[in-house]
Amino acid sequence: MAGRKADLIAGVASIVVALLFGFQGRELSLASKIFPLVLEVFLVLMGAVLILRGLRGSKEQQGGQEQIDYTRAWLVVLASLVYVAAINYIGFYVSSFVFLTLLSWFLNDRGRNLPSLGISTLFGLLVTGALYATFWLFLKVPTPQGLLF
Amino acid sequence: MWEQIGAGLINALQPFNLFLAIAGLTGGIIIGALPGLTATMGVALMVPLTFAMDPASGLIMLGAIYSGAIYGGSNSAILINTPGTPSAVATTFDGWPMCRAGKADEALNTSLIASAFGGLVGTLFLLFLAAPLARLALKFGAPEFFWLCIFGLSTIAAMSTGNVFKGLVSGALGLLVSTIGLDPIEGVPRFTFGYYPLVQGIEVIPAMIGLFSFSQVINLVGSRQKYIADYKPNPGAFMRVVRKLWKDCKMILTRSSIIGTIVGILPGAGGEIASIIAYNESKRWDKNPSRYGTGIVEGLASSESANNATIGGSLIPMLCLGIPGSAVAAVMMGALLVHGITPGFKIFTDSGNLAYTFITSLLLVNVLMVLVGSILIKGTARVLNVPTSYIGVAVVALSIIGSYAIRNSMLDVMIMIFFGLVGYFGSRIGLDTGAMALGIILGPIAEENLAKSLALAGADGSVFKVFFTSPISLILIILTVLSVITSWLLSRRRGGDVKEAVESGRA
Repeated sequence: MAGRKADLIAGVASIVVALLFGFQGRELSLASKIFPLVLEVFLVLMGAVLILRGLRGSKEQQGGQEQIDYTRAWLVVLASLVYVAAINYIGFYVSSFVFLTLLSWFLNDRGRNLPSLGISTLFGLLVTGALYATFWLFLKVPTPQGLLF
Repeated sequence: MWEQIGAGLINALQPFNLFLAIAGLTGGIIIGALPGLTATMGVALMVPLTFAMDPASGLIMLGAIYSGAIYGGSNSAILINTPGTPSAVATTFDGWPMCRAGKADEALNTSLIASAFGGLVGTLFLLFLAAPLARLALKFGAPEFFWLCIFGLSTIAAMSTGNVFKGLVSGALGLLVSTIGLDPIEGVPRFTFGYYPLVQGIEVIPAMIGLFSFSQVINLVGSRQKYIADYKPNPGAFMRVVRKLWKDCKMILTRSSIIGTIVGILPGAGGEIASIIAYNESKRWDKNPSRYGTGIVEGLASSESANNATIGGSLIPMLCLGIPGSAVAAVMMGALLVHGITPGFKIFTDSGNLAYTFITSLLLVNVLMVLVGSILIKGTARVLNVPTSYIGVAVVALSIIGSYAIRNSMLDVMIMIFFGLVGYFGSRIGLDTGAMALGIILGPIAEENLAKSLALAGADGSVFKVFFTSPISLILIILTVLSVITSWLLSRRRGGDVKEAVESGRA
């Protein structure tokens, strides 16, 4: 993202977050809000500096950013949200198997055909098995429970 | 004393104890490498197993898990830019760029050797200087802790050279987020935004998994890269790293290990603070600090030696004073108490055999770590040969269960995803996830100690006396000022270099 635009967005975001916290903490006692209050003031000031810099043209160094395929990026986010929601209903291990298999199949570079679905299914089974062995059998860490497993 | 050390070493070298040390190290490294599974969790899970053993064997195993887990966190930090434990945050600064540059073997071996070195130095301090260092720990009150946090936060200016404003904003956002939950002084819920479960606060580990791991997955999958990084096994990397560390990093390793030990002694300050301070100091003392963050052995060696040195440090107040220097040390202290052994200065006389067996076993564990780690590295580095589409999806599943496992809470899973998005979009506009993580880690400690210090000042009638007169506070204030000034000068010099390059380009 261009330096100017990035500065403007960062500046506005910084001020919005500070105001949100400031509004939320308006009824707190001074002892409770002194630390966050200092941070909110600091964020508003820094936000203003960033906005001014954005308007004048940024001098700070911007790292080169890779081109992003937003469809794939958003797909990961949405699939993860569906996965998290499914965990509550059908259980961690079954949801993990379905998530690992389907998303790796969808994202793989070999195309969405039957052989690649086979590889993804094997991958899903292996990773779910490893998670089960590590968390359930060995470490006995509780995993979210659902209707299934 | 030497007699007891010798006897302890002989005990530690018993075949069963050696087996426990190797098993503990292996398990610890795996636990540490998995995002969300911490050293504390690994040690706590294994405590019941030690009940059936004699106390020395049990402690040897727990010490090995502790050492392995702190080192293990660097593996995922280097290979997938996801610190396996909070103390590996600074490891990502140079470890990940090294991995991306096709130097994963060098990075993994550097972290292994530096961790073992730091662990050895910390243990030597525990063996020979436990008593005076424990007394030093007692001199740290709330104001000193507050200044230590401010010194840690000054790292933000150093790590964001060239982008200081956004680094500061990122750090402040992290600090502000850390205030969500119960106020540490009055116990009043703050900033829950009408969602009551947030009263539990923002757990550091899910936030970090989100900032580093989930955001990285979005980035990797979106970038359509086939592999995370180019990787070909690099025979001879171990010896090359040893030579490089011996030639160029003796001072860095020693300084960082001492910093790690001292920070480790302080209750509440652990590997995450030590590694960041050590990294910052190495950068400050370097002739060419701008190399830091670009993928250099020196940066990696600083953070990894410091975080493993905290292990010996954190055990000093635990063994000498009965005050654990870290959460893991607290769990280990619980194990000692279960066996009927009460920590305190007398442990070295009343249970000398046990104490020296445990301490000398830590020396042995750090030597064994090089052996066990070298074998495991060969397998872990191959992660880079798995296509991104598979790795990314597996990391999401691991991030979710890792976040859940901390408090068995789906809220933490949502926190992880939220911070993943914050990290992803934040990095698109130049915000610094490392600085944000630092704010989240240091925020609660800084606020709690600020409030305590203000209360002390209220009772004492002088803010100046409480905050600015103790010698430790003064040293920390001077170090903070030096850190900020150095970063500012570096930033100016860098600006000058850029200007010069632009002008010569025009000419």
